[in-house]
Amino acid sequence: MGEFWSTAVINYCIALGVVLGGSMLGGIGAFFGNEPPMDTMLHLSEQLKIWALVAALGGTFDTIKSFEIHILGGELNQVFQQLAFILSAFFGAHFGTILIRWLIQGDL
Amino acid sequence: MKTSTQIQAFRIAVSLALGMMAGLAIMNLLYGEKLDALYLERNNLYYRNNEKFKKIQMLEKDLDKRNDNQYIGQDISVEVQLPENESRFYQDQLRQEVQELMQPFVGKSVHWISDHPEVLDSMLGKRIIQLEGDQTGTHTPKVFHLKLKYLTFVGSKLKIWVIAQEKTGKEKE
Repeated sequence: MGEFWSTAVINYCIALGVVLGGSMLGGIGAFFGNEPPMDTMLHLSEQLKIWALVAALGGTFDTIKSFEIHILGGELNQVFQQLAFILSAFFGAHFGTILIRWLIQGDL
Repeated sequence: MKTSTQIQAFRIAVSLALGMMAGLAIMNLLYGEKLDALYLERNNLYYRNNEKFKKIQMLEKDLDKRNDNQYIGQDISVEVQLPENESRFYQDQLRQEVQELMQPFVGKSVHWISDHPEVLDSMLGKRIIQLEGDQTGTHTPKVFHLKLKYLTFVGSKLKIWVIAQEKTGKEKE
């Protein structure tokens, strides 16, 4: 597998893990904090989506900086690669949210 | 430098912690729905309890207002219960006498009287009423002593039931 694909899969899995793990452990915390666990998990899965994206890409600033460098350097191929990484992280985070919603509400 | 035993013990501890977290997450997923339903029910009960509490407070306020505004009116109703062999002739006279005795209570708060009914009881209980006979001589003068049986309030109207018993010669002495 090429470097591009492996990075895309890793980004996808990181974003998915952040949403799933964050929601699950947040649910446990809610249980100890005398809050409804499932409801808290549902809210957390929505809130963590954007942070999962950021965590998967390793910070937004670096990505934006690389956009600037590659666009100004005329390397559009690299720009599309970065866009693909962002998209894969987004899909991972979104899939995590969908999974949690399905787990709690029983529908997608 | 850590020994291999220490590293192994550390691994076991970390595995235990991870296992606990995994177990908690699984239990949370299994029983989370039931817990959510219970939390929802609890919130609902809190809400309903608050509503009832507010209603009770409102009703208490209304009750206090009503009690404070009600005073005993002039129309005090008196029912006199005479002994069975006694002439009904005395009943109206006794009623009139008792109504006169009740005059100091006119204008007093209903709330106050209902809280202190013993005042009325002691006032009537020690009272001796002397009635004159009629001009025809059919009914002779008699002396009665009274006893309070019941008292009720219908709005601001006071209604009392009194038992009248004739005072015998021995008692008079």
